[in-house]
Amino acid sequence: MSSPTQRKQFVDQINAHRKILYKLTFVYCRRSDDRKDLIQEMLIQLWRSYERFDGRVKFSTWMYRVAANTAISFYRQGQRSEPEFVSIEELGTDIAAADEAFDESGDSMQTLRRLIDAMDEVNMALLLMYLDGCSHEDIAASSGTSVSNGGTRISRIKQKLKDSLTCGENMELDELKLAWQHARCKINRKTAY
Amino acid sequence: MRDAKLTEKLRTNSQLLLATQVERHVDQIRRLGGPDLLYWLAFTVTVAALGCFIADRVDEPKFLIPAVLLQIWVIVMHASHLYLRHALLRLDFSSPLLTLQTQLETIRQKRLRRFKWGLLTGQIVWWVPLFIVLFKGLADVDLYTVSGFMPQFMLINVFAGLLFIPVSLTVSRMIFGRFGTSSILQRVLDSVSGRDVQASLAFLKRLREHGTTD
Repeated sequence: MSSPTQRKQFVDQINAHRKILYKLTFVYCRRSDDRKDLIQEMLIQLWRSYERFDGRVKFSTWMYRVAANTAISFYRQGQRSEPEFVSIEELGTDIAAADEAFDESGDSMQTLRRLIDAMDEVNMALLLMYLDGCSHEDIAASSGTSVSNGGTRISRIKQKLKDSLTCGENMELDELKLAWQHARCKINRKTAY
Repeated sequence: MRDAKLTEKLRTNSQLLLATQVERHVDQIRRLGGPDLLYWLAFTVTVAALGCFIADRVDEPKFLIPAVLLQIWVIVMHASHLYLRHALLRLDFSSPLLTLQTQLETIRQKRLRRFKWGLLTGQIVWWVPLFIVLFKGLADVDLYTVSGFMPQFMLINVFAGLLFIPVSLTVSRMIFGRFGTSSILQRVLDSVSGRDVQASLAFLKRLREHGTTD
């Protein structure tokens, strides 16, 4: 995987779907520094894995799997990262702008943050897919379970979210999902060149 | 119109910059994934030196046995390192989450066990046998005959090394958690007590649960 054309293709595709990285870092990291480290690790892993990408699945699905697997491992390592290779800003990612987009979404994102923190590392990834409106088939394919199991898992996550929401915040699950989608759009705008 | 042009120019520049950075990444990643030169050098020199020592003293069991012990330890640790490294490199991060995480955690568990037993058995191998071989090999000094007390001293040390294993297992289980999560000592204690392997097993169990509808 060394030809300039392939590298350009890689860069273009990463750029087109970079919001996947921002979303995952929001879910798996609390601190901005950790988010930068995680983005860097995800980019390294994506680059390492790119030669295996054969186009059988959509690039976004492939990228989501690689990035989510990296994020889970990062989370499990206690968010320690390898020494920094290169500033991630130089790689075209703008974590500050993405953070800003999440911050501007206000209370909803804080509520979501609190709910995410109460989940285990696999459920975090499933929750992200649910919030993004993925189908049960997509969720099953990305997580490696059967479709019915994927559906059951999502139902449980939704129930858990509902239970948590009724305890404190005066908010519905749909509102949360909507707020997430707004934040996604903001990320697209804010991090666009 | 002007804004659109500017945006397009910025986008092109950013992509050019990104492409340059990717080039830099390629070299850095290649260096990371490549064989560790120092590690291989140390391994080759150690195995070759021990091999020569063993070949020269086939008929002297008092030197042969410690040298063979050292050689076995070095080769086993190296082989397990290579096996795990290879397994790690073969992982496909684009596999479904549960599949990849299970594979990754299984490898991690093996690495933790390797570290633990390498550390514990190293206490026996890298003390008395090493000094017997080192003194004989480098200075032609027979440590068994340096003083009348030496054989007993060596025996005591070998037993102390053996005793170190159960004692460190027990002590680490008693005092783990007292040094904060980030200290190196705490990590060693976690490893020796088997706490990190337990955490790893618990994660694998959670992954299995995710894969079933129960």
